[in-house]
Amino acid sequence: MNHVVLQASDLVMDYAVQPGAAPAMHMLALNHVNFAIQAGESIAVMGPSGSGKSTLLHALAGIIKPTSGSVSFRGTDLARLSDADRTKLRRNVFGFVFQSGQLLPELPAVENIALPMMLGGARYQQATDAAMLWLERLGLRQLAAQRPGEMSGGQMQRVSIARALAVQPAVVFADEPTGALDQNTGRDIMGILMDASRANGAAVIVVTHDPNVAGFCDRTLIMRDGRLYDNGQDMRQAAPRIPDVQWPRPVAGTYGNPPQGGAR
Amino acid sequence: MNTFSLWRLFHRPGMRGTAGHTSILAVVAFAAATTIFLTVLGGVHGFIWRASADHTIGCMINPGPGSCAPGTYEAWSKAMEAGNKLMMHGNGHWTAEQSAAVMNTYGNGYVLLAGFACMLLIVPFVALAGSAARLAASRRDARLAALRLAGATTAQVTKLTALDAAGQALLGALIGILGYFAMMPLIMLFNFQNRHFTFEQLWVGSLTLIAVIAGVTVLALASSLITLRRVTITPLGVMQRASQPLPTRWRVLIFVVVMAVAYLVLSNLQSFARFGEGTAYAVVFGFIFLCFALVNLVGTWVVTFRAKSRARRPKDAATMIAMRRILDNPKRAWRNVSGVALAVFIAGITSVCGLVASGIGGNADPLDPSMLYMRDISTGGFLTLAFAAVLAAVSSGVMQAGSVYDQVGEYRMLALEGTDEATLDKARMMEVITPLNTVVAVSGGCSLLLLFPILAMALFRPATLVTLIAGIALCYALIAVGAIAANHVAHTLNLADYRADD
Repeated sequence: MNHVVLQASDLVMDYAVQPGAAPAMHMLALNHVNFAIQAGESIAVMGPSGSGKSTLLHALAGIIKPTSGSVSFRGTDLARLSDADRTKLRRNVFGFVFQSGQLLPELPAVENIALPMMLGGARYQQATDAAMLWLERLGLRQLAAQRPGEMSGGQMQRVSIARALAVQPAVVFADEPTGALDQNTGRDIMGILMDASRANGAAVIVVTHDPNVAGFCDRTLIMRDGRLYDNGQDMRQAAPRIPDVQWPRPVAGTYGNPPQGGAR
Repeated sequence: MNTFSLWRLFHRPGMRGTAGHTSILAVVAFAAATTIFLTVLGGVHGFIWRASADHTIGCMINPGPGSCAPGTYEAWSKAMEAGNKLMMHGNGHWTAEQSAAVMNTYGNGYVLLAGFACMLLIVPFVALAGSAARLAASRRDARLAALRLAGATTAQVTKLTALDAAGQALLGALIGILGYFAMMPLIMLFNFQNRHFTFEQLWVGSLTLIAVIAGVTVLALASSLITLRRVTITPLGVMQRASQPLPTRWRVLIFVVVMAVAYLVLSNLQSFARFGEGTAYAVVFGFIFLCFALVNLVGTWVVTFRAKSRARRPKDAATMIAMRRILDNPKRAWRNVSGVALAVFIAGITSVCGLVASGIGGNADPLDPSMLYMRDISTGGFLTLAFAAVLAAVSSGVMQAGSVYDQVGEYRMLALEGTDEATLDKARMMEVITPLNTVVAVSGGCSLLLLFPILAMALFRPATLVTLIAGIALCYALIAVGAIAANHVAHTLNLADYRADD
């Protein structure tokens, strides 16, 4: 049985009322937005530049505080959590994949993947063992000791996906995950992201300009001028799949509650 | 568009952003370096003023009626004669006048020691000025690359950056002069040769001030040009991040061999005694100076070794991040704290002078000139130590804060992924403390090893150790202040509530 894992009600984000912003004629970055995603579901948010897609993603992830409205994760209002608790939430139950620049340049791949687990309290050996398992599954074992500067864009994105999923997140936030990649590599990356997320029962929210990327998701929502529209079109049949693989499980007992009934 | 117009384009009010923050840091660094340099120079000037008949350096070097102002030399030589006589016949009961007369005869010794302190401070001074210049030159990657993409030539971009660095140095030097004036009353509180300095003695002259301003600006210009030679500014970016080759082991070998030779030479100092007291002093200070220089050669390797061993099995995320950052650029990690190596060396030498003073101190007369001389060397040593530690702390704090601005993207990403501020603070602190511990261990160990043959077990007397530990504690305290300031800078960064790139 599926249930709503993340829900936003009547979200408004007005950057002009942020401290220090100059008063001027402006559009709301989020204009009374409602959003809900179920465990294991994947949603693409598409829209032109400046439409508010990334702002929505950041608000849903509790990174920014909306001007008004609320975001709740499994029934808990994020605004009621302290900054420290929101940080813990991001660390333990959310995963992030961005266009680029998300890996720490000083850390080799294996430590980049192990970092969120260590931040959650796992020991170095335990975290790097789990990270190695992820690298193996993604066919990147030979990159374990390489640093981001020594990898290709596609390899970096694979490592980022491994890092996002290593903590068995309930929700994966992906902001233009293939924006810096060519079409073929982008398709591979999306296949890996979606399959690994499904295997872990994670919900996925993907922000993208690319209809091909959106095609990997269960639903596509359109964002324009801070408003969210559901076009209701099912584009899943367009999604190419990679063969089923056995995804590694994360280090047990450290990272929040596993999602209920999300795996398909 | 000429380079100056280009420079003006980027220096309109409200145009600075992160580059503006790093500019402030660079100006602070240049100001601190100039203040300390002028203060030390003022001290040297004060001692020359006292040691010279007409208060000029020419008369001090070549005393005589021909080279000194008319009438001054005669009065001076009479005072010297009186002092020499008193020194010969002094019996341990000194009046203030007698003591002052004898102290006059030590004038040249004071100038020599002040010059030595000045020379010692050149290393951390150049390190600080160099890091300020690097800061001015290396934090503008995106802007410089965008300029190249827009059609600016390499020469234009280089000139623009050099102009930036020179402008900051000029402003810093001018603020540093104000700092020099502010420091003067404090220096006047110190007692050297049993009397306080006056403004006239500490005032280096307007020509010297102009020369220092020009010198600091030229140094910044040269440093930034050298820095720019090491990077390629292309339209696609300023440089690719790649692993730096780690320092090789041969440096350690050279260091160990020289230390062993120094230990042997200092253990057999009596063989140099027949060449005169001056030669013996030259050998002692020469070897100490050489070993200090070699600590700098071996420092990067030792820091790398230590960070590697801690990175093998880090106990938490903060340790892992900190050790990897050190290993990413061990040279930078060493440079951040290298000034402390000198400070610890000075702490060692100063504690020895304190010991010598207390050895002579069987004589309890507080006006005994030889006792005053040793006390002054000890005070001067502490001042040099404090200046070296301040220079090192400013250098370290400025570089750390600069790194924070430089890595704002990384910090945002870490915050996004749920890294708490405490972990980031801890990582930044470890990034400084690990090389600092290494430098104190190596430098303090070398200092004790080299002084051991001269002073043997006296080194381990509580008074000596307390002095040494106090000096080291001062270094830790000042460096910690620098690191805390860098953490404060990091807390002011807006890591979450910034406009998303929609």
